[in-house]
Formats: sequence, C-alpha cells, structure tokens
Amino acid sequence: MLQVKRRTIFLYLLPIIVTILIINMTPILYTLYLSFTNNTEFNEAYNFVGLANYIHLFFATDSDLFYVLGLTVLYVGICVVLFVLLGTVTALALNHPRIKGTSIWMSLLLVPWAAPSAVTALIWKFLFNYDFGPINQIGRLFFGAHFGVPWLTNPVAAFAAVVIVNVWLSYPFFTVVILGALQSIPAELSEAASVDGANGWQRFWRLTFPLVSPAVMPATVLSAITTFQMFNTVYLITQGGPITNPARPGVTTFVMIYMYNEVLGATAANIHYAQVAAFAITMFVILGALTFLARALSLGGRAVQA
Amino acid sequence: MKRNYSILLLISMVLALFAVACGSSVSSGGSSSPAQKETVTIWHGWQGSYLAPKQAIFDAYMKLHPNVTIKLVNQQNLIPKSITAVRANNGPDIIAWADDSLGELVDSHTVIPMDQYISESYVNSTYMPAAAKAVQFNGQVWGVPETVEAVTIMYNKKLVSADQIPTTTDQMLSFEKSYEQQHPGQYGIVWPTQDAYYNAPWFYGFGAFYVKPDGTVGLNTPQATAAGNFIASFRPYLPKQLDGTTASSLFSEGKAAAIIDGPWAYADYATKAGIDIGFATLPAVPANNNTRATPFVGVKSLWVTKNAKDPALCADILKFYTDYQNQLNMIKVTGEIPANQQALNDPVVKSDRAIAGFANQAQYGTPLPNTPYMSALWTPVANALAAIWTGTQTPAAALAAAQKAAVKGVQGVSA
Repeated sequence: MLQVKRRTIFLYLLPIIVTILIINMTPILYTLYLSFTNNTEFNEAYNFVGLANYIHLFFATDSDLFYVLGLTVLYVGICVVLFVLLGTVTALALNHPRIKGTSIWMSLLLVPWAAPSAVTALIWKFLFNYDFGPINQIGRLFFGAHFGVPWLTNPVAAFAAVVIVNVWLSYPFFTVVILGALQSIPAELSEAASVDGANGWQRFWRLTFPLVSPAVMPATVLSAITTFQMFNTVYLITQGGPITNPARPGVTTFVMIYMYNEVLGATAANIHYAQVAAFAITMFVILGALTFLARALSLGGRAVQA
Repeated sequence: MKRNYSILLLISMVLALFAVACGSSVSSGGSSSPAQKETVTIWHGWQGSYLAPKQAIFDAYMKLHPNVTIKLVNQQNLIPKSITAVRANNGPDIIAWADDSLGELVDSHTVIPMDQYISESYVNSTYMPAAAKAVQFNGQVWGVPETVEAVTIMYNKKLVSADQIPTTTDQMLSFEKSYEQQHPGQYGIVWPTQDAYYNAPWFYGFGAFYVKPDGTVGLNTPQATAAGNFIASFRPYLPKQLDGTTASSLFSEGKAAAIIDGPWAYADYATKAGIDIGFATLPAVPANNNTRATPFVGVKSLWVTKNAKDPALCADILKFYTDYQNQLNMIKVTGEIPANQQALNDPVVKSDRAIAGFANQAQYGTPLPNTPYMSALWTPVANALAAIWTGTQTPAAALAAAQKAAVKGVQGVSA
C-alpha cells in the first residue's frame, strides 16, 4: 500500500495553484479594487470612493444596469426554453425505433454546434441583411419587390434574429444530452406502461419526463449561464444594436456586450473604468450565485438518480 | 521505493522547465547583446491599397537600419483600445490616427510630448501651417502630421457625367430619387448614413455644430434638426443598412454612381476596382444661404505613446516617414494631400487630379475639433443617426436624446 504524504500532494498541486492565483485571481482582485476607485479615461489616479460606483449603478436614474440586465434575462429565458423544447422534440424523434441511421442524423445536427460560432455568426449577419441578404431576397420573390423584414434595424426583429441564431447554434447540444438520457431508459419500462394501458402522452409525462429531467436540469442551468455571458455571436451580428434611443444602449446589448462597448467598442467614449468594473463585479456575483445553484441542482439530481 | 524516485524525477523535471523558462526570458529581454535589436510597434487604421505605399516607407527604413523592426498592426476601435492598452503597459509605441483624438489622448496621458526630439521650429518649417498646428496642443509638440484629408464626392465616370452631379442639396435629393427609379437595384450617391464623421458636412453645412471648445453641445438646435431631416429624406432611395463597407462595395461594383468618401479609400477604387473616378465638391445648402456642405478637415498624425521604449528612435522614424521624398512617393499612389510643405509645392502634386479634387473640397471644410470634448460626441451623434436612419425616432427626438447623452459625456470629460 502506497502512502502519499499530504505535503507531496500539495507539492504536485503547487504549479497549478500558483498559475490559478496569478492568472485567475489577479484580474478579479484588480477589478474589485478598481470598482472602489474613481479611475477613468481622464483620471489616471486610483482615488478611493467607497461604494459610490455601486450606488450609481443601482440608484442613478441614467444607470443602464437594469435595462441591460433585463434584456439579458429575457434573452436567456427565451433561448433556454427553445433549447429544451427543440432538443426534446428532436431527441424523441431520433429515439423512435422506426428512425434509421441515428448516427447520420446526429452528426448532421451537430454541425452547427461544432462549427466555429464566429464564422456562422458572420454568415447569419449576411443572411439577415435587409437590402442584400438572401432571406429578404427570397421573400421578395414571393411577396413583391417591397417585401423585407428589417432583421437588424428593427428592435424586435433584431432581438428575434439573435435568438434564432443562438437557438440554431445550441439546441443540438440538448438533443445529444436528452437522447443520451432517453437511451438509458430501459425499453421494458415503456413496454410495461403500454401493457398497463398508458397512451403516448401519459408515457411521456409520467415515465420519460421524470427519468430524463435529472440529466437535463444541470445542462439547462449551465447553458443559461453561458447564454447569460453570450458575447461573440451576438456582437458579430448586431454590435449590441439597433439603437432606438441615443441615450440608451441598443436592444441586443447584453451584459458582456455592454461592458465591451463601454471600454473597447466603437462606441466607447469617456471610458469610466471604475464604473464598468463595478458592473463587472455585480455580474460576477450574479453568475457566481447561478453557478452555485447549478452545482446544488446537479448534486440534487444525482441524489434522485441514486 | 520506485514510485518515490519517479516523483523526485517529475519534480526535478518541472523545476528544470521553470529554470529554462526563466533563463530564456532573461536572455531575450536583456539588452546586453551588442546588436541592440529594437522593435517599434505602430497601431493604425490604414487598409487595402492605401496601406501598401505606407508600408513601403517603413520597409525602406528597416533596410537602412537593419537592427530596427517596425511592426504595423491594424486595429479596429483604435483610440479606446490604445488608451486602455497603454494604461496597462501593453500598448504600441506609435499611434497613427486623425487629429481629433489628440486632445483625448493628451488628457488621458496616453501620448507623450515630443519637443525634446521634434522641435516646434522643425514642425513649423517642415509641414504646412494647418497640419503643423494640428500636432501641437497645450503649447507642446506631440508628433508629426502625415496628410490632410476631407471627404468629397467621387463619381464613376462610366455611370454619370460631371454635369449630372448635383450642386445643391435639393438637387441631390432629386438626383437620388431619379437615379434609383431609372436603375432599379442601384443607387445615386452613397455614404455611411449613420456615421458622425461622414455626416458632419450636412450638420455644419446647415449651420449646426457638434461641440465647441468650451464644451457647448449643439445637437438640439433647429439647424441640427434641419440637417437630421435632410439625412432622413434619403431613406426611401438608399439601402436600409448603409454602413461604410456597404457603401464601398456598392461603389466598387458599379451599383452606386457616386460615393462620399476620403483619400483613404481612393486608391482601392482607382486601382483595385479600376473605376475611372471624377471628383466633385459636396453640394451647397440653399436652406442656409447656399453655404457649402462643410466636411471635417482632418490631419492624419502619428504620435508617440507613454509605452514607447525608445522615443528618440520613434522620432527618427516619424521624421523619415514624413520627409519630402517619401511623402511624394506615397501620395502618388494614395492621392492624399501631403502635410510636408515641400511635397505640397511639388509640381507632381499640382498636376495630380485626385489631390486637386481633395484639396478643392478641403477649402470648404472646417478643422476637426481636437478638444477632448469631441470624444463625448461621436457616439451620441452616431446613435442619433442610427435612430433616424432606421426610423425608430424622428430626427428632432433622436437629436434631443443625443444632446442629453452628449452633455452628460462632456461633464464626464471635465469632471
């Protein structure tokens, strides 16, 4: 029996601990520090201002926090519901015994998920172009020369556009997860239920759903967190626009895009590093809580399975 | 026992790796080598055929000074990125951009004064007066001017003749309308209709202004609203999503008869797209006593940042870049107005059609405001134009909201 000293284990872990401390913790601690100062583009000093940036963030009438957060939560809500819905439908279809060549369907479904999202985002941006995009061009064939959905210039259409792209990119992941869970359900259970006289609808809600949901729940929460932090796909399509009011961010300005635009984006002006840092710390707390929730749920899920 | 040895071995390997990593970083970062290799990084916004003649000058410098490497990096959102990167000691040695950003860069302590290396008398005697003034701020010299630029109308001679190009804003509207009706799927005059720089000619031509050096914002004036209404009146005759890229491709592909654009784009249109280009000045505004539409006249400049390892070397590169012969060779391709006085006086410049075209327009322009307050204006104006062009707000409402945002921004600058 090999005895490993506690110190030896620590020695092994030391490189990664040091790396994590330097690479992960330093920026976080610096941002935290920054959020308590008044450092801006024109003020290089780090003067301590206490909670002033947070108070401005939460209580100032011109603060963008709740507007941007509201947009983001709405986006996450709509996207995640559609992920699960489409994922379930495709997984149930693929799990049907009469479907042949499941592996071919799976690989086809996984193409959008596996393709680099930056590339697909730019393709979608072109598809959505009002004047020259294929979607509107095809529409014009059927509805006349004046047809056109203002995909990227109308606020509602632009929001729908970034939802469509994100759902298209991500629902195959749910198909895989749900299909995996479905295939782990023994066929005998379903057969037994059929014998007992349960119809398809009852079999789904009473049998499939309770057995699948423990596996899907953690995936849903994790996916909500990544959608919350969505940056590249949406930014490449809309840059956070369209602007409907010059005094407010555009309707697809989700939290990450907002922070980028405020510091490095084409619209960055009067960069208020400290206020953006306070915004970032607030997001960090929210995401931290969500991650904690995800962990609790996945542990809970395991307890149910066991 | 064997296990223990392998653990020791592993640890020693890790330690060895660390030692190697540290050792190499010391040797490469040290300045003990006699060769004194130096790298100078320049962040810029030059693109396409416009970049090649500029790159050629730096290549020539590297040939003369084999120890110097000059790295050109094209950056999007150049100014905010530079300010943030320089503060993190991660920025370039030299920034090349138009003079409107100088006030912002000085006040944010991003660039350093260069009087020590580039004297005021050198600047005043080498460059044309307006350009020499543009690199001086708060009584100090901050860099060198490269070229003087303004947007003007460039038209495709195959599609329209000189007498068809409108000379008043009223004619311009009817020209857009009739051209679009006669050539479905094609457009008359295109320009990025949601960009604060490209639309300045209309605002200033209608008698409005963006911001004064004292911080007064002028977006909610009747003149500004008139300019906004004028821009909005083109909505039925131009693409709904008309940004710089779209405008350029429409003109390059012959789908737009004319474009409002600057010298940075000329080389691409003339050589790459092979268009026979005619020049015309922007139209007069009858609503404002026939004042000419007034574009911003910018001075493209190069400044040295706080991160520069060797400001003296940077100064030498900048002087070389803007000397008579190099500028002359460059503008023959780019069609820019040189800031170098001697190059400007050269007969080649006088006879060049493109340079004459841009110079002709520049005389009706207004200097780009280089007050740091200007940094608070670009976004609100662009946002107002976006709201106007998509039709989500009336010009008056959009500009009133932009005024509010800009005033808040100006307060942020002076706070």
